[in-house]
Amino acid sequence: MLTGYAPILVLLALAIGFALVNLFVSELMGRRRINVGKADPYECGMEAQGSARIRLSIHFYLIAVLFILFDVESVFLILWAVSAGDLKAAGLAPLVLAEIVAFVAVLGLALAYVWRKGGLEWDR
Amino acid sequence: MNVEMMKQVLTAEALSAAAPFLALTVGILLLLVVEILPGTATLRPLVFLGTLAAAFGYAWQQANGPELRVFAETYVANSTTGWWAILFVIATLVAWLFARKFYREEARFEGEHDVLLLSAAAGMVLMAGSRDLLVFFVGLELLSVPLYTLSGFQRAKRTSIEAGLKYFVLGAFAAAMFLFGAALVYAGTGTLTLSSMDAADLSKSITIAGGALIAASLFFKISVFPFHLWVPDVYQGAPAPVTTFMATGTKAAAFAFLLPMAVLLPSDAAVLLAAIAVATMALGNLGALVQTDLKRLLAYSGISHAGTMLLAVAAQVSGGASAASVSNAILYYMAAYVFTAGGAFGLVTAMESRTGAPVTIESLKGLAQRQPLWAATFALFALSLGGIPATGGFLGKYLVFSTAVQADMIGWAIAGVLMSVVALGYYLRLIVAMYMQEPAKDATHGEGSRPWANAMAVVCAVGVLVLGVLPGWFMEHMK
Repeated sequence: MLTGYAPILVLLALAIGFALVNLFVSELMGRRRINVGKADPYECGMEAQGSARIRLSIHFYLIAVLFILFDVESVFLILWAVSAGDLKAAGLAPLVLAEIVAFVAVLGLALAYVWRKGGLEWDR
Repeated sequence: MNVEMMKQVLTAEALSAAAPFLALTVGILLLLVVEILPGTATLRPLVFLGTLAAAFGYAWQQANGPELRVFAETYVANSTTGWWAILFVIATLVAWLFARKFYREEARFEGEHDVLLLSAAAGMVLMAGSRDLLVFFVGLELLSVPLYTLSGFQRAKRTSIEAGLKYFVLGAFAAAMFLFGAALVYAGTGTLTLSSMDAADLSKSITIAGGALIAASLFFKISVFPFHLWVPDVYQGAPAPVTTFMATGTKAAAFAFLLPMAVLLPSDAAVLLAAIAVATMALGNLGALVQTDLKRLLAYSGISHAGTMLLAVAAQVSGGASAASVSNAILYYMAAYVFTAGGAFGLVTAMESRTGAPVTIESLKGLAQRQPLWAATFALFALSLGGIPATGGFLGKYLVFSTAVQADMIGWAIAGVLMSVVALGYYLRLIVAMYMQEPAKDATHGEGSRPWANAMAVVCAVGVLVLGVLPGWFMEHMK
């Protein structure tokens, strides 16, 4: 039963191997010329200045969490869309429709709640 | 997509099995609607109580109905889960009623408070009915995440934030242990559903290790040694109504799943469980003896009660006591505990909310003169916690120890009974303080009238007495 997960293991090995191989190849074959520019966090763009540990508004966190929530929920819509055809063919159309309507209604309610409580306002 | 499976899974039977859970979910959504629409705030208590009533009704049906195994055997509804659900509804109601008028700065978040309370209750119902490790995990998180938030609900109080953070960090650790254990069990048996584990070989060491990890994460929730360290701090720091809820509901929900998942534990583990149980009782009682803060004292007493119930689980694992008798013993013990601890923590809530200062044994002195009703009911709760006959606590203890005797664990049972005697030391101290000692000059705890608290104290006291005096009715219903 666990052999079904073999592709995931292979993918994992490939991903780790790819990263390691690239690191070693550039370590072995690359030339090294250290200068001030290379020690910068970014080699192009604006010059870095000040500390990176500044305090950010908690509001960014709220928006990020809300984004993740609705982002992940929308992934579930794809799963539904993929299987809706089969289920409709099997005569389950009303059930399938009702399920997705309920799902989206709950999401909509959550969005309305966030909106009403001022979670989407930038300048507070 | 397996169409046939979908047809088998989503049946009317499945919906009726999940009805108490669904009722709570719908209630959560309705509460959010109330929050959104302007001018409907007065409807909130109505919606909350209506939701609990609906959940209670469905749970009652299950308690008296046939056994349903639904969602591909991952969820069951039978008389036991029905009674658990009824218990969760009562615990929620007690916590909610004691929370009335408790919050001041946070009063404008009362809607969120109620939503979180209902989510946790829904999580408990899901935990009790689940017979699958993943379904249980969803219930566990549905219970835990709202409780982390509720523990830190009083944002202006340092202790409350500390309680929330502590509970969150340790809770996340326990959740990770559970998942790790579930993964090992899956590796060993190839399934996560408890019913299909009966057929699998459970003697592989990887399965046993997984079962042990899962049990450990449940031990964290029911607060037994050595996973009890968070309890006194969190119970003390969290808002008192939330403590009421955690002490009663969370413990009950974790026990409700510990019993069916105990099939994963080999019978050799019984001795270990019994040793943990007695160590927990000793530690809880000795800890409680030296406490002066009432919430900490009740927290330690809760630890020792968890130890007592674990003794019954040990009896089941050893194979000496039948699963049904252990399940009934723990259900009865927990029912008595919900009323007793619910009432006791609730009265602490009522005393605390007037002044905002922590309630100590010192501030209990002379309570019999200031609030005769509170003193009388609190004395009854203390006696029931101590296991004095004619209270629900006595019968719970009797049933638990008799399962241990059935399983030939007489030595452990005697150790447990001796521990209950030690416990009387601090329970009686509370009664002495309330009735026989003069109040300090500036004693203010418990002044003024609190009609809701009075009513709830009386209801809990009646519950304790009915469970203690008329056990036959419940026994007949629980079968």
